Amino acid sequence: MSQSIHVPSRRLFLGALGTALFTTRGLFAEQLLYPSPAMTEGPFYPDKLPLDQDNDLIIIKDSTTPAVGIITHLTGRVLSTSGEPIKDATVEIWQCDANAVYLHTRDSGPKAEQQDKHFQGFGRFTTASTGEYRFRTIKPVPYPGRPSPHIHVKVKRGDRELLTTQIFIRGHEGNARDGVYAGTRDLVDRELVLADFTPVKDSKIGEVRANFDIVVGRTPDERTFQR
Amino acid sequence: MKFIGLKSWWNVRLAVSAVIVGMIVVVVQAQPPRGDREGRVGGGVDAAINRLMAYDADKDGKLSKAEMTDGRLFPLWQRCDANHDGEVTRDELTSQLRKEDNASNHGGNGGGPGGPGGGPPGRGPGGPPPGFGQIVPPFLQDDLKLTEAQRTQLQDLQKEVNERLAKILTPEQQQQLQQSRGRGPGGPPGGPGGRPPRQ
Repeated sequence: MSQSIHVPSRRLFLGALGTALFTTRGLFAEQLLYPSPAMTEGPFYPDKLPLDQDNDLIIIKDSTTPAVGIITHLTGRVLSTSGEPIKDATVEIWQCDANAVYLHTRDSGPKAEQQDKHFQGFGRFTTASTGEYRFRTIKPVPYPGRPSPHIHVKVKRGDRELLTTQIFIRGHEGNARDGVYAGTRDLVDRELVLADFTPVKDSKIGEVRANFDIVVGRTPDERTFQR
Repeated sequence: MKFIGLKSWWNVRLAVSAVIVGMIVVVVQAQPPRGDREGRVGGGVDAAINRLMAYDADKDGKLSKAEMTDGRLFPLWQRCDANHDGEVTRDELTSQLRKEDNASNHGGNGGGPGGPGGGPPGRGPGGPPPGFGQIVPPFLQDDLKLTEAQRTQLQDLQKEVNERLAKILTPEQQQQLQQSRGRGPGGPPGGPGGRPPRQ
């Protein structure tokens, strides 16, 4: 978002401060999308990042053994609330492997034997001007205490964290029992963290795809106005 | 005189401490049990309807397919269009959302002894903080009408608190905390993150 757009809208914002702006819960002309809700990061953002941090979590480095699980092509865009693609945004994902073990010394340490050593557990992708991101990972599975399978997501730009959230499977029976998902009081927010995991047509190994657009409410250039 | 001055200085300090403690108590108490949150800003059926009706561009009180410009909300719109006439009325929104709200409330709270698993404890930056140790809960942030800058600053402060809390507690304790919050009073882990865009 360029400053020429941002500054007038900010003036408008300040000018309208005294009026009913805050009580009018409406969308404005240039604000088309609700931000993806922030959700808890959980305890297992990797404490030691893996050597391989690419966007293919199925294969670690040059290994010939793929991770166990349903291969999932996760794609989407990083957008501003006005729907503009955000360039140079780094999307990080992490999730437990098919045996429900996170890549984190406090989880994969005690569960070393259970762990799928071929699953990368964490990946990164930096967007270009289209704002698109892409990962090859596994379809998430439930974790003890978390009946709702989910993929953790963090979006950064430069040294700034824009959002931490989670992606859930639309229609999964565990969602209603999940403390994080069902604990989200806002019914619209609940909708914004769901993705359809649909079979890839003609895939012989049962791959699925999921599309998930991430809308960040905090614009990357916001900090220039805070200093 | 000097003595009195010192004494009144202590009184001031005491009063200030009392106010601070009082504020903390207010913040803690202001976070109602899960069941009381319905209808509050940032939660419940009414709030969701308001957020969705923001897409009613022509203000006719109905959401047409064309008005649902956010594809992420299209599946919800489809579920609400009970009579499949391509328009969603406020009544259709109300009945569908109420149904979904009840379904998840039942599941979320009434899971029996096992309860709602409760997620891995919140620790880190970005995400909404765990209810315990939450400095200013999201709904209160809304009530206080914090500016974006204030929210950002608060988020940074919360991040610090969360990180330090995570260092103090063992993973098991964090899990336990999360689970006990799932059953009893205290905010749900992921507070309403998205507010209506405002600028």
